[in-house]
Amino acid sequence: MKLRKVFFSAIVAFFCLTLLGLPQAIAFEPLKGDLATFDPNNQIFPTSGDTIKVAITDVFTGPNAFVGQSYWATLGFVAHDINTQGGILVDGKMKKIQIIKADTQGKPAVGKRAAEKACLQDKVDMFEGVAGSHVSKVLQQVAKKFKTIYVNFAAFSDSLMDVPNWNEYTFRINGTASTCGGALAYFYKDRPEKKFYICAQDYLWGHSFAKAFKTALKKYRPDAEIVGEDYHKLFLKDFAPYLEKIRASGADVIVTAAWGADNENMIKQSRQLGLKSPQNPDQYIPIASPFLDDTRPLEVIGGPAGRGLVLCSDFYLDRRRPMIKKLADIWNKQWKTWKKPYSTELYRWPGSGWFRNIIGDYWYFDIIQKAGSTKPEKVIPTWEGNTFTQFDLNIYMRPDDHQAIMERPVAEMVFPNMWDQPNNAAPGHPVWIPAKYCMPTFDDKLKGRVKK
Amino acid sequence: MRNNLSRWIYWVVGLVILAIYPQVVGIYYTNVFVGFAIFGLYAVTLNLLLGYMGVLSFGHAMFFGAGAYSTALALTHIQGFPLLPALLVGGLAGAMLALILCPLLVRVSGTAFAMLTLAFGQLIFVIALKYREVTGGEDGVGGYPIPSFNIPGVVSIDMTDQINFYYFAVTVIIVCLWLLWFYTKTPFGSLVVGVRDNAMRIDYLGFKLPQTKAVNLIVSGCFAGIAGAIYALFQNLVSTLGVLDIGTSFAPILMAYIGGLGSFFGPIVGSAILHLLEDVTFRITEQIELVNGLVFILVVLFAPMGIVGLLRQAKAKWFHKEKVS
Repeated sequence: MKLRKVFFSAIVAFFCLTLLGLPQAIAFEPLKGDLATFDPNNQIFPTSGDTIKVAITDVFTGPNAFVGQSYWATLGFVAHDINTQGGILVDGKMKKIQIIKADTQGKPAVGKRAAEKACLQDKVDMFEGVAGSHVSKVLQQVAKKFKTIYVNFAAFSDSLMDVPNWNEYTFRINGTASTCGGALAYFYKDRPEKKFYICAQDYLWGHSFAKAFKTALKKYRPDAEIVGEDYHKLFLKDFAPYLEKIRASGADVIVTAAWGADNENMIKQSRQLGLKSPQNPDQYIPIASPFLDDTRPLEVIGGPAGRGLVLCSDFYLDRRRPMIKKLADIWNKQWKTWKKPYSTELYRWPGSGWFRNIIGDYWYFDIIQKAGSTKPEKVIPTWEGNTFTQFDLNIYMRPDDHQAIMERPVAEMVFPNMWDQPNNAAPGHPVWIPAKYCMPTFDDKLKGRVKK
Repeated sequence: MRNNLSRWIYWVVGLVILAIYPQVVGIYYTNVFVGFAIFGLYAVTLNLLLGYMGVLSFGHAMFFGAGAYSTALALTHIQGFPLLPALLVGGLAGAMLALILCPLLVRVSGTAFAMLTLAFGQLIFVIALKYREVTGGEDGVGGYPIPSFNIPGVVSIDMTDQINFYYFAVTVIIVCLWLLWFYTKTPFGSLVVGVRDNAMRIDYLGFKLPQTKAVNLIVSGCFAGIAGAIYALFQNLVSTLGVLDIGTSFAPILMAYIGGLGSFFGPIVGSAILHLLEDVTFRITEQIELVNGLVFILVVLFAPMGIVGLLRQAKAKWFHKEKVS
């Protein structure tokens, strides 16, 4: 009799333990899904029933449509990975991820309407984006108004996470002008280059980045010199006058934060005009920027001319880290099977922006998995103070202002490279700048907001 | 008598529809309506120049933007700034800008007027972009407190509530439209139309042509500024892209052409059509501009007097038939 009782108790205990372990057993893990079937052009999501709905609020039309397309590919990649593992256990159900496009056209009013539609009509659990701090400001308000989580992946203005723009529904994964400028300045701390020429776009981002770089340089490299400072108009065709000034100044490095066509033209024309590096006359002058992972201009100038360029992005694929190598390998293998627009060089390997989106999405889905819910009142406290440790990373969500804090990679371009790109230079192994040297700004009004 | 009665019935039905609209359609379409109404008022102010005075402004966004920025900046920097003065500041800013520019603008017409307004519009755009310490550059000014509608001791209505804001915005816009309608029906309004039809004759008749144009420009600028102020309160963000860019200048032109230049209500109809079209289109395709452009071409080709003109033609045709039968 006693033996039978013990036996039954053991069975009940085992059953309970199994039940306790169930959520862990069916938890998703990055890169464990059937990614061999992922194709960004042919993504199929459940469109009915109980799903986790995520909206991509970014530009899907016009010359910057590639921004939205890239989210479609990266979020699609993550969603496909998780969906093929069965989904995520939230609110007591296994739910799959559904993605919705919301075109902002890069305009605040359109962005607001697109986000409102996503929140009110599509009833999304989270929306993400967005290129342009002005659009992000509007989306942050929408998030607050409709109590929906908004994850900022691409708006860099320092003030976005300050009062009055800040609200508890907004989280920011990407860096800021301060983090990019700080990391770059620290990178040059012990290097031979000490004459810098700032040539940035004449608008808020260019000025903020330059200011952050100068402030950090003064701190980390007091003997360094800013030998010149120019702010050119956006989408300039002819950089020759600026480049000749740079040549005359004897600068070791051009520091810029130009993106898009400006980034492309500056790199190409500096090579055409034959600007050499004073520190290493065999090489062209180094240009340091957060946007050098765009492979298009690198291909045009050719591999050797790209050597020595310096990329100071938020995120970067470091092949020495096994999970990151695995991700890059899976992506590149699949990339070969894709059709336009995803078959272009731009998508050959996940550039830093693509990688940031992937990490940000995995992080959000990991959070809702931990919270066991998509409801903001559960997601917010779970995410505040959380540290994302997958992909061999260590990203901390600062609880007071919801700004991601992490070490920042700075990489010099090398050729030949390790990325299976025979026609251009690509980033070599990055130097990781500890987070404390490239911290994003913090609004003291938010200090102590979270009592943890 | 019967005509008057039916007009009153239309008005009452219209007001009842406006009153119950948010409860019926929900917040999303309520916000779409507010957006349409703001641009409707803004397009009517452009029509004061284009339809009534016969001059095409390619830089009308400067008045809209001046209103939006001044309201946003007043709310940002002056603690406890009340709601109605915030609106008036917007109107005043639009009027002031028009007053400053009118000595130059009233002396030209046709292409010169269009080019000059384009130049001033771009100038204001660039100033707002570069003077980032004040305007916030591309990031704009945002997150300012939206004051409540407050009558001390009587009522205090929270304007961050979207439904409350809808009633407030619609009331202000209807009042503005009524004032503008009244303005166009005054003898001075007829004088403005006379300037459009034959400026030289108006001059020979002894009216002061530049002053007439100036007053119309200031009225247009003032109400465009009020539209901008409501926009600033509605969006809680003002940035160059959205209130001062060339697209914001072209939008009311498109609305006025599509709705009908010859009519007061044409631009409002144009705004409604474009907003509705945009809302439907972006559920199907991302190529909204393409669809808008196509509609514009179709209107220019087949209904040069706009949708309102087309309806008038149809109405005339039907009534004529009835009489014949």
